[in-house]
Amino acid sequence: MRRCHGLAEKIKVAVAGNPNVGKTTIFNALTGARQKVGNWPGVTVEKKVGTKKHKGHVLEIVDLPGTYSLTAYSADEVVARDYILDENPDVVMQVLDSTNLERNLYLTSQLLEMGTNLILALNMSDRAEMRGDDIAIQRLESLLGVSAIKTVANEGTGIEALLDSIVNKTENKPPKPHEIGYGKGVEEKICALEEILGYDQELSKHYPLRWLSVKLLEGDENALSKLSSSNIKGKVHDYLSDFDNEEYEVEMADKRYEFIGTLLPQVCTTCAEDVSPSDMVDKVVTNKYLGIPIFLTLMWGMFELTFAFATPFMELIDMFFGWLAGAVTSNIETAWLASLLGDGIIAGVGAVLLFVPNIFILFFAIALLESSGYMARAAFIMDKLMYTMGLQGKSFIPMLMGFGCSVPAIMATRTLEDEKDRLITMLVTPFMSCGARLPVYILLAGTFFGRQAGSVIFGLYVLGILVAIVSAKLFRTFLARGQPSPFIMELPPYTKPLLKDSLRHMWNEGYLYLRKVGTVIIGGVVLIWLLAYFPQGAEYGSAGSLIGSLGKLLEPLVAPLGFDWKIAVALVFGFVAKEIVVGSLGTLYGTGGGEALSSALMADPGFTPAIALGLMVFTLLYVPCIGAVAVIKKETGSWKWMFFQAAYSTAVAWILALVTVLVGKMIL
Amino acid sequence: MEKNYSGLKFFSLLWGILYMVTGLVQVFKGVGILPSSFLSSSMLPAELAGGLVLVVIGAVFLVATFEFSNNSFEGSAYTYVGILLCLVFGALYLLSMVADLINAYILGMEGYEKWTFIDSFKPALYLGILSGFVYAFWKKRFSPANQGGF
Repeated sequence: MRRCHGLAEKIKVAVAGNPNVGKTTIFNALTGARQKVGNWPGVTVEKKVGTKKHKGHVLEIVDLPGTYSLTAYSADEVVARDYILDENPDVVMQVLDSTNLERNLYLTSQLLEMGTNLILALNMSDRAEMRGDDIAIQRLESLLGVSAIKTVANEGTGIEALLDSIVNKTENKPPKPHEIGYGKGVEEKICALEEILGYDQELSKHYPLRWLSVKLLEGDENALSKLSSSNIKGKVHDYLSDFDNEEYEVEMADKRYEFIGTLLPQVCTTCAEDVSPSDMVDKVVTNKYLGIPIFLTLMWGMFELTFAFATPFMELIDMFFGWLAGAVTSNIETAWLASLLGDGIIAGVGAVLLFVPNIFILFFAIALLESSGYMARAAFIMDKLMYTMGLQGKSFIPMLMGFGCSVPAIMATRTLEDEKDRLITMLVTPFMSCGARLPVYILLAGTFFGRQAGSVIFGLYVLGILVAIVSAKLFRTFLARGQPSPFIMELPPYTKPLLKDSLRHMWNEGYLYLRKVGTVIIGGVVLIWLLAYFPQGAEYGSAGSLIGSLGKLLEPLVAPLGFDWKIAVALVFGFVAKEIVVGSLGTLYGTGGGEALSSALMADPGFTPAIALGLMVFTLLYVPCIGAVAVIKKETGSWKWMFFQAAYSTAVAWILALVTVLVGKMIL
Repeated sequence: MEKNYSGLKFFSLLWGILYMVTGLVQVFKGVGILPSSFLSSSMLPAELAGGLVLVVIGAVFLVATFEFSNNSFEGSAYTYVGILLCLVFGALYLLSMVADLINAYILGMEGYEKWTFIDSFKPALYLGILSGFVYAFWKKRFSPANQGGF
C-alpha cells in the first residue's frame, strides 16, 4: 500500500481470471469510466488500468490478461504472472465462473501458491443458483483462507462488497502462501531447491522461494530465466539436470486437481454432482494412457467403414462404366475415337470416379468427428507427442485437414503464430494421406489384402503421421532450431453432430474431388491415352508406345524397389494428381478401372503383395501433387523450401518403399 | 451424496474381461499364436486390428472397475465411454454386415459366393448389441443429475 494524493492510500489491485468469466465486466463496474488502455511493455497484450476512490483509499486496478493457469507458456500467462510477481499488487482479485468452479479453481490454486493476497469474485452466481448450485461461501473462505464474494457483474451485484473487501484485505495482515502437498518425494526436492535458492538474498527478497522451486522443478523456462544473473544459477542447473521436468509438471498438475477434487465437494455438493456427459467423455478420451489408443481405434473404425461400406457402391459404379465403355467402343466405328473415349476418357475417369463413395464416406466420418468436438480433443491428445517431436498440438489441426487435401491444409498453417512452427508444419503436412491417395490404396489393398484392406489403409495413414512427426523432429533439430510454442486452445463442448451439416461438409469435400475429375484428371487421362496410343502401329499402352518409352527411361530409378516401367509412368503422372496413378495403371494394363484392373494386377507376376505395399508407401510419401507444391512455394515465399520439400519427401518415399518391399518379401 | 455403484462396477468388470479376452483371442489368432480353429472360427475370427479395438474397449472398462474400487466417481465416466465405444463399433460392424449382404445377395460379387450371416457376425457386433441393451437399461445412470462428481 502506497501513499499518494495527500492522505489517500493507493492500493494496487490486479484482476485475474480465466477467459470469459466476466473479468472485464467486473473491471468496468469497479472502475467506471476511469480507465486507460495501452500495451504491456515489450508485448502486444492489452493493458487496462483504472482507478476508483473508495472509503478514503485510491484503488489502482489492473485488468490482467485472461489465463487458465500461471504456468507461463503463453505471452498472456507470462504477463499475468510477471505482473503479480514483479509489481507485487496489494490485492489479487480472481474472477471465477460460478458455474464452472472446478476449472477456475486451478488458477486459484496457483495464485494461492504464489502467496497472493487473494479475493475471489464468484461471478455469474445467479446462473449457478438457477442451476441449483449451492456454494458455501464461508466454508470456501475458511478452507482457503481468502475472501469470497458472490457477484453478478452485469447487474452490478456484489461490486460494492468487492470494494469493501479490497480495503479490508489491505488493512489486515498479509496472508501466508497456501501450500499444496505434492507428496513426500516431490516435497523433498522442493525443500532442497529452496535451500539452494536461499543462498541468493536478492532472489529471496523478490520471489516466494517455495513457489520458485515448484516452477523450476516443472521446468518453467520463464522461472529459470529469473536466475540468469544469480550466483547460484549453476548449482540450480546441476540439481535440476537429474530430473525429468515433464514428469514433475504432470505430477504437480495432478496434485492440484486432487486438491480441487477434495475442496469442491466440501463447498458445493450440488456443483460436484453436476457432471455433464461432455465432462465424462473428456475425462476418458484425454486420459494420459488411453487417449491415444482410443484416438487410433476411432481412426481405424473410420477407415474400416470407408472401405467396407463403400464396396457395393463401388461395384455398381464399376458395372456402369464397364457397360458404358463397352457400349461406346462397340458403337463407334472410328478406331482412334472409340479408343480415346472407351480406353481413355471413360476408363480413366471411371477408374477415378469409382472411389467417389469412399471419398464421400471418409469425409462424412471426418465431419461427424469434427462437428462432435472430438477432433479438438485429438489435437489436445497429440500435443504432448507433437511437442516432444518439435511441433505443437495446434499443428495437428492443419495436419488433420491434410487427410482431406494438402492445399487448404498448408494454407491453414497461417493460424500458427510462430514462423518456425509454421514452416515445419508446412513441410510435413503433405505426409498426411490426402483423399486423392485413397483410390490408390483402395485399389491395391483391396486387390492384394482382401478383408484386411481397411487395416492396411489405416496403417498407411498412421505411417504418414509417424513420418510427419519424425520429420518434424529432424527439421526442428537441424533446420529450424528452438522450442515449439505452447499449445493453447479451449476445447469446445461436445455436441450432437448435425446430420445436415455433416452431409454438407461431405458434399463440399466430395464436390472438390468430382470437380478435379472433370478438369485435371480428364486432361491427365487424355494425355496418357495419347502417349499410350502413339506412335501408330505400336500396341496400345505397350512398351513400344510413347508412354512405354518414357517408362523405360524412368524404370532404372525405381527398379531397385521392384517397380517396373508401368509403375514408373503412373508415379510420374501422379505428380499432377494422385488419383491419376490409378487411371494410368488402368490405361497401361489396358483394362480401365475396377475388377478388371484388379484381376490384371493379380495376374502380373511382377506385381506381388510386397510390391503393392511398397507402391502404396511410395504414393503416400513422395512429392505431393503439383497444387500442393505450388502452395508451399506461395506460403513459404521460397523456391528453396519448395524444392527441399519435393526432394526430401521423394527421398523418404524411396527409402521407406524399399524397406517395405524387402520386409514384405520376407513375410508376405 | 453416497451413490451405489455396485451394479456398474460389476458390469464394468464383466465387460472389461469379456472384451479384453475376446480381443486378445482375435489378436492371437491373427498373429498365429493361436490356431485359426481355436474356438469358433466364424464368430471369433482371426483379426489383428479388430481384436486390438476390443482390447482398447476392454481396457476402458477395466479402468472403470479400478476407479470404482478406489471409490472414485470417475468410474462411471469410463463405463459410459466404454459403452459408447461398444455402440460405435457395433454400429460399424452392422454397416459392414449390411454391405456384405448387398455384395453377396444383390450384386453377387466375386468372393462372396459362400458368404453367410455368421461370417459377418463378429464379436464387436454381438457384444455391441448386448451393450445397446445395457445402455438402454442404465441410460438414466449416466445423466448429469445422477453423477457423483469428480
